[in-house]
Amino acid sequence: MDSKFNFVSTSSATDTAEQPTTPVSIGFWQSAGHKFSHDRLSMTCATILIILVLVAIFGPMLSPLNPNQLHVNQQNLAPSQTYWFGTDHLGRDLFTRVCLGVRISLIVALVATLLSMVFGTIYGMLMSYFGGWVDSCLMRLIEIFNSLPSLLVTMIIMTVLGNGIGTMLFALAITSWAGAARQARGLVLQLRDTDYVTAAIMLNTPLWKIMLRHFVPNMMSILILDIGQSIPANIFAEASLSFLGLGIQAPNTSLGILISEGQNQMLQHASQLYIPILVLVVIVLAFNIVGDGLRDALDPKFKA
Amino acid sequence: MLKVILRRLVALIISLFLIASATFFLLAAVPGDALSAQTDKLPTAARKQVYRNTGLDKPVLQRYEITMTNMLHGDFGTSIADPGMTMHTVLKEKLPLSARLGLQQVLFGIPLGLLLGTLAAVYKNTWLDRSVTIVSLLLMSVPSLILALLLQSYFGGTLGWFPIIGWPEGSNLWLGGWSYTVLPTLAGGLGYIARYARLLKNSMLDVLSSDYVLTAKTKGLTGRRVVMNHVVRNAAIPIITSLPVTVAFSITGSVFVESIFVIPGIGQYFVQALTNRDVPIIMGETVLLAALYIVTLFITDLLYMAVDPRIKLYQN
Amino acid sequence: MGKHLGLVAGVAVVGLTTLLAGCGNNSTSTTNKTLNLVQASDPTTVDVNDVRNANEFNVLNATQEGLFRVTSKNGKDSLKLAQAKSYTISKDGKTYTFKLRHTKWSDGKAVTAQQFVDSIIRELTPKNGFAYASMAYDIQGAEAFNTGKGTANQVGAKALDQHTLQITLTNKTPYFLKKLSSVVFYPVRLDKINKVGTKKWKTDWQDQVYNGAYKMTSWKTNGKIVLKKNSKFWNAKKVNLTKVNITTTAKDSTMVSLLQSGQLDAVLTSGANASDFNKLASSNKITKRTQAGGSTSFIVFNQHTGGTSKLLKNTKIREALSLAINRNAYNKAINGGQGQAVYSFVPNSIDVNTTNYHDYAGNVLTSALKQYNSSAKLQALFKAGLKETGQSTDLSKVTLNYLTTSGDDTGTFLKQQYKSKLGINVKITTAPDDASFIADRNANKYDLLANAWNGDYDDPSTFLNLWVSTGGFQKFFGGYDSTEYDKLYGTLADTADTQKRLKIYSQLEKLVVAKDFGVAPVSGAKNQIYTNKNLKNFQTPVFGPDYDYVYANKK
Repeated sequence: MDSKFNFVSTSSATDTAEQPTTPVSIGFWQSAGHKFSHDRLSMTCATILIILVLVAIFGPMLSPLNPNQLHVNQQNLAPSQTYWFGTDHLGRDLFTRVCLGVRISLIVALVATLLSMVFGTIYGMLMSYFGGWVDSCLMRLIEIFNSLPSLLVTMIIMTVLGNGIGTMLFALAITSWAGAARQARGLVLQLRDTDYVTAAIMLNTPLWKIMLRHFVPNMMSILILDIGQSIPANIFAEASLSFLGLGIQAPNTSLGILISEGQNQMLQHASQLYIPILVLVVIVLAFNIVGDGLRDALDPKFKA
Repeated sequence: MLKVILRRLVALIISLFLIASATFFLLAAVPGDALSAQTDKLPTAARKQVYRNTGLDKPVLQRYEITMTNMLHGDFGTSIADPGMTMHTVLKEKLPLSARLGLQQVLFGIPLGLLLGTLAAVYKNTWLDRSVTIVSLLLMSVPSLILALLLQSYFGGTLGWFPIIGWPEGSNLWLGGWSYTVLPTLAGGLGYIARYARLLKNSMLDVLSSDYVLTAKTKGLTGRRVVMNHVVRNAAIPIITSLPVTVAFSITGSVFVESIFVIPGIGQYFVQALTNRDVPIIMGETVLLAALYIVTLFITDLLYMAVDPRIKLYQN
Repeated sequence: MGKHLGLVAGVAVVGLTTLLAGCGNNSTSTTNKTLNLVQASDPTTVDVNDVRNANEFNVLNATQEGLFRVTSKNGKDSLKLAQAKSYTISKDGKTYTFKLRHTKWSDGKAVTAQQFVDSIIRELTPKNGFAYASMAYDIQGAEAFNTGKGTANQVGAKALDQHTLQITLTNKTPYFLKKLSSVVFYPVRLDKINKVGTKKWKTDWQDQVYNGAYKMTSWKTNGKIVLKKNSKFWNAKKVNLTKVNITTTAKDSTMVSLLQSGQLDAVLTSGANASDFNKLASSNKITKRTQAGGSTSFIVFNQHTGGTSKLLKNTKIREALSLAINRNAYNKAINGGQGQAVYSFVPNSIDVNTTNYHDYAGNVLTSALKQYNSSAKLQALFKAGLKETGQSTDLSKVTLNYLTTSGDDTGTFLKQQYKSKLGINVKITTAPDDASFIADRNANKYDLLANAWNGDYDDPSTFLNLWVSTGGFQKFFGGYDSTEYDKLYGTLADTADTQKRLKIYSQLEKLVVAKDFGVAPVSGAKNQIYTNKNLKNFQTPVFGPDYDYVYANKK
């Protein structure tokens, strides 16, 4: 990770075929970045994702239409030049609504993932750092959360706390942090006895600094992989819960809401169902492919 | 070993106690209860009477005590919204439907997934590998909910090949009424194909590129013996260890597929219990499922030990 | 490789072939004797005294039978003798004597007059807490018994002999027979009920006995109800369909697919849902029929506390809120244009005797709408109301709270209407489920609600008694409270003359809708009934059950 050793990587990037035998000691991240950027499929999907995010953020500005404005005389219109994706059963512009929906779905997925990762990692690091009875107590809690039927718990939480984005974030995060905590615990157990951590402890380095300097960077690649997996899972969860009526509620919108509203129009105005489905599938597919690409790039076993 | 099991058992009981208590108080904390919708339009006196009849008029702590004591005796109580329904009848009437659905999905999806995964690994970097990868990625990216909707509207509606809703019951409960089960099985099973094809392919590639396989090959062992002796055994580890959880999850109901195909299984009943605030049923299902998962996780750990002697679980 | 692979492939292929073999015997047994129906959700009960909504009416109307059966033709309901063979009404119009047919329950026991009396007494017994007890209040001593001020013996229902039933009313009530045809008054078997207790009886279908055309042979919640013909039914030889499957599904798209593929014989839809079915009208296998419904959708104004905004006790503000709703736009947006914009509360399917009530009374809101026909006038009206309540007249600072359960479109619509017409804001609060909604509503944490009322019988009183302050229902619909209304409603008790009743009814309606603006009616239901072409005599009564298929047949 030390930058002094990085200059070699520029030469390695030019042509790997010429120096096939001796592995070049390039930085882990440079190597991963290099591998990822040469994975055409992953790069395409990453680009698609970025474009989608940009459209979700700026799309509504491209269209003069208001996603929440009802037009009783323009219900269920087919896609056209004015209404790029057509209109829904209340005459609202579907393109801007899909943009809003993607926005909410992505926010839910990203924030829920981050919440569970951050909480889980800190939890795991602390428990294994302190060890002893703290560790075994906190481990019991992990076991409990691990054994929860997560869908049921998510639903119970949604019922108890009411529908809304905040509740949904909480519900998704609370059912998924235990995995991250376990992983963090395992890694810190390995790292705790390394010389540099011992040295840092001897030097009275504050805990947060040890965590930030020594633990987190070593976990980064695994964390990134976890994030790559849990984002699609959270997008699914949001869509499915909203579809069942247990998630986000109209007039807020999300891909799940759009799909469930579209389902009612399936027979006569199928585009209202297929457009949000297509968007959802493309997003998840792109995340999955990028996740695969990241794994190939970050996993040392997959050295090409 | 006995000690390990005992320790796990104690942990299980503590977990279940905490889960049950948390569920109870969470549900008690929300305004309104199972009777509020039912008794909404009743005169006050009548409403009070209905509450008295069900014991919901008692203070929270007293209800908690009653619930927990009964639970200790294996009695989750009678449904409030659906009188006469107990966890016992739920397990007897609803679980078999969900279980058949789940088992069919698993039996259809996993073998196919494993087959495709093996093919993809053995014929790595061929068109076969690429198509398996693409198909499984695609299937993984379509939630079962959406697969169910699409299958239902096309094969059930447009083509009319299969019934749109319904599920075999009575004498057809386990065997028979197959046409009803095709679409729901596909809706959930396709996901398993994708997941297991990927899982097996990755673990086989891991093993194929591992040192001991390379050694075996250099020793001159034939491809077939390498595969049998080394690859299959080692690549099976992640499969075997992920099976129990998959099966446990599958038989306990896939809410979305059940709700779309109108299968009166345990998953749909839970959603209904939730919207009705039917505390006895919600608690019963949560606790029983949690127990099932905990036991399953334990079995998984045992399997880990059995298939991979390198793993020692119970060192502290 | 080969061996292992072979095994895996083998399993997969076996899996596939069994599945495919399943397709072969795809025998959707749509014989000519089976009727396939759907219901949006399961009945909450099979106890005739404990009924609440159409789901259970539909089933119980087929499995049990009362003195009369409602028959329906071209959207008009009429009564036909069923368990009663004949009846006489005394000169003062207060005593009804019914002669019963000699009929039997499905277990072979005789249906007796005492079982009808038992039903009325059980309905009224205070500790049972049945929602529809007030349906029986016309009977002498009924209200007193139900409210704990009298005893069961004082209730005017007597079995004169095994097959003669006598019911005595407090007042001459011209529409009493229409009420009496309700499921609530069907006979009950106390010997059976007492064995399991009222609490369990509610959903205990296995222990039921039936005096109707069908028996329930299976009930799986969220799944399917199966009815089989009851051979002990007195008119069994006229019952053609031997089996009825009622599947639970709320999804319109599913229902449409079912109809298209012949797996569903009939469905009744209204409102926005109906537009999903439009495509089917062109199909040559399906007949479509439209009939006026017996329900009204309305916006509730919180007059208990004035709501979270504290504004709704003011009549001018309520007037502005009621008049600002463009009912045509509402019908288009919320009902997909499939309902009906309404300007009065009593639906136009209701008759008084033989006179159509709505034809007589007209649209009570018309003149007010003419007067306030612009957004400026409406805003001035709202501001006048604000002034009266002593609040700032800045419209943009007003926020009304609309409470709902699952995100409906009405909130979205009102928000936009009120913003554009009145310049005020609407906040939509979505309760996660019914229980929370009720808790919030009872705590008065709302200004506006959307609600609908389905009439129970064919008379304006089923709509207008809602607004009587002692009626028990007005508190759910905003708590309209007017002594003038109560007094006027009281004069109905001793008015039997049709013309006089029409006049009082229309005065009442004007008072609550167009003078006090205690409620804002917005749309009425127009039901669309899709039936399989070969299904004949499938009836859809306006009141009571949605469907009556007891004498239907398939050709």
